[in-house]
Amino acid sequence: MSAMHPSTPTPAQPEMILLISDEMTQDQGLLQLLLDAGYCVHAVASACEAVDFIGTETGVGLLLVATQACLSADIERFRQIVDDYLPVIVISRIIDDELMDRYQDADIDSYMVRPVNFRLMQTKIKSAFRMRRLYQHEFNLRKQLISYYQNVEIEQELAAKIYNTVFQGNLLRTEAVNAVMSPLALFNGDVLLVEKTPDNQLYLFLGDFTGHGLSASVAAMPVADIFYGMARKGFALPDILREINSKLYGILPTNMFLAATAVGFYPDSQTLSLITCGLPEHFIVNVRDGWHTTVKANNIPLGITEQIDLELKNFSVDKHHRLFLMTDGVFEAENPLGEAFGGERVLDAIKQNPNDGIAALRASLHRHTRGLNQKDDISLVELVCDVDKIPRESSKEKQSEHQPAALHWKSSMEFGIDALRIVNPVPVLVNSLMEIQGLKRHRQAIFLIISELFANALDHGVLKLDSNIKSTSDGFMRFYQMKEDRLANWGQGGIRLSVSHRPTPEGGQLTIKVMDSGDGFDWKMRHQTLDCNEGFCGRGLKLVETLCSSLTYRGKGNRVTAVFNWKK
Amino acid sequence: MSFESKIESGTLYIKIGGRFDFSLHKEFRDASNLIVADILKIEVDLAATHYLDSSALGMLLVLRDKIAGNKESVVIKGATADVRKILQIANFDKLFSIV
Repeated sequence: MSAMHPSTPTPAQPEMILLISDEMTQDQGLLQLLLDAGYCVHAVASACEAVDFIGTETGVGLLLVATQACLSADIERFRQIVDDYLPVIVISRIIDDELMDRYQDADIDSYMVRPVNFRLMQTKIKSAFRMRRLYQHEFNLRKQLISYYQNVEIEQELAAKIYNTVFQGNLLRTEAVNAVMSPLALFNGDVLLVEKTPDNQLYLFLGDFTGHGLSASVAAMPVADIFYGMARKGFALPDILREINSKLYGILPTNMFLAATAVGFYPDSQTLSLITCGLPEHFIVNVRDGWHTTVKANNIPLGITEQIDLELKNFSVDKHHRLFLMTDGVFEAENPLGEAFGGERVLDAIKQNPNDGIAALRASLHRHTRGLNQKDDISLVELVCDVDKIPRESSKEKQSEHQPAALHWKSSMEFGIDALRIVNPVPVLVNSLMEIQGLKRHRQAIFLIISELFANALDHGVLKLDSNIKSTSDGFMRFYQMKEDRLANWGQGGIRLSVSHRPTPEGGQLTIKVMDSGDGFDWKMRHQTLDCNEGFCGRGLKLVETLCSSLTYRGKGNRVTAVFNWKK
Repeated sequence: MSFESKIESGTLYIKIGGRFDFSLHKEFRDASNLIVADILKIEVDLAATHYLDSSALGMLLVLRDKIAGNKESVVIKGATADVRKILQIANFDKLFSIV
C-alpha cells in the first residue's frame, strides 16, 4: 500500500473478482492474465448465475461486467446481496451514449473498451480495491464510533444519576440560596454545596475545578462527602476547607486544582464569613440603599499545597444584603467580538435590579453573548442574608429508627491550651455521644448546649475576652479577631469537660459539666441583666437555658453544670 | 502563540507569546522534562502573553512541583495587566515570585 493510505489495512483474505461474460471464448485470455497476475477470479456466464454465486460465496470484491445482458437493476441487486461497497468495471466493444444511458443509475466505477489493455485494466483493478478498502475502513471506524458513543451515553446516564444523588440529593434547599448552573457538558466543572450545621449556621461552597467533564466531576465527589459530612457534624468552615484541601492535594495531579469560596452565614450574629480561594471577585450588595462591596480572593485555590493558610473575611449583614458568587465562566463569557463579560458588567447588571440579581445578570449575560456557546461552565449563586429564610432543620438530619435503652455512663476530658489552639473538640465529642446511644434525635440541642458552654469557657474563661466588646456589630468582628490572636499566642489555661448519663423513667438525663482555668464571673449578677439583653452576646446562654432543665454556675463562676432531660 | 525555552547557567528560561493555554501542553511538558537536578531556577517570561487560562496555571504549578524549591525558585516576569489579574485571582503570588 502506498504511503498515501497508511491506515487502510490489507484484507485478511484476498478479494475475489467476479467476471460476468457471455463471450467466454473471447475473454478466456483476460481470465488467464488475471489468474497469472495472482488474482482470485471466478467467471460466470449471466447475471442470474452471478446472483447465485454472490449469494453463496462471500468475498466478492470486484465485478467485471463483460456482457450486454446485465442491467442497472442487476448491479443494484448484487450490491444489496454483498452489503458492502462493490466496485463495478464495465467492459464493452464500444463506449457510447447507449451504454452510458443503460448504466446511468448504477454508479459504475470505470469503463474499458475491448480489446482490453491489460496494464490499464490492472491499474483500474488496483484502484477499485483501494477504494473498497478505504470505504470498509471508514465504515468500520464509523461503526466503532457509534458504538463508542452509545456506550459513553449509557455510562454517562448512570454516572449522572449517581452524581445527582450526591449533589442534588444532599443540597439543602432554602429560599436563602438561589443558583443557576449551566453545565458545559453533561457534567460540570463547577460544584455547589449547601448545608446547615447543627447549630443553625448556613454553609455554602462554590467550586470550579480546572478542566471539565469526567476528571472534574470525579474529584468533586470527595469534596461533597467531606463538606456535607463535616458541616452536619458542626465543624468550623476553615477546618472543612483544610480537610478538602488536603484530600485534593492527595488525589489531584499537580496541574489540577479547585478554585473555591466557602461562605458561612451565622444568623445569630448576622455575620457573613468568606474564605475565598482563587475564584474571581464576589459582590455583596445592599438592596435597600445600593451599597456594594467587592470581595477579592485572598487565598490560593485548594489542592495545590499540602498545608494551606486560610484567611477569613467577615462582614456584618442584615436581611437587605445579598451575596453574589460566580465562577470565572461568567467573567470570561465572550461576545461575538471576543470581548469578555468582565466584572464591571456583572456589577452593573446586579445593581440594576438587585432584588432579582440573578435574573438581571442572566439577561445581561445573554445579551452580551447573543446566545453563543460558552467555553466554560457558568454558575451564578445568590445568598440572601435573611435569617428568616434559613430553614431550622438540616436537609438530612437522619433520625435513628430504633431507640436503644438509656444507659449509665460517664466520660471526662481535659484540654490544655496547646490542644485548644489546634482543635475544636465539640463536633468530635458530640459525635461520640451520638454513637454511644440513641441521642441522634437530640443532636441539635446537645450540640448547641455543649458548643455554647465550651465557647464561653474558652472565650471568657481561658482567653479572658470581655463580652462587652461584642456589643456593637463592629466589635463583633473585633472580638473574633482578638480571639484568633489570643488563641495563637496564649501561654496557659485549659478546659475540663465531663458528660454523664443516666436513664430516667421517661427517657434519660444527660449532665454536662464544664470547668475552665479562668477567673469566673459574677453569675449572681447575670440573672438580673439577662432578661433585658438584646445585644450581640448573652443570647447563647439564654438559649442554653431554655433547652436545659437546669443550668447552674458554681464556685467563682468558672464551673457550670447543664442538665438535659430527654424523653423517649 | 509561541513558545521558547533555553537553559543558561542553571536557569531554565521559558518565554510564551500570544495565548497561553492547553495548546502549549506538549511544549510545556517537554520543557518541564528539562528540569533536572542542576536547574536551580526557572524564569517564565509572560511579557508577550496576552491571555492565560486555568490549564496554563496548572502548567505553572507543574514547573513549581518539578523544581521543588522555594517560592523564589520560579519567577514569573513581565506579565501584562490582564495576565497579572488572572494570576492575582488565583493568589499565585503566594506560590511564585511574580515580578
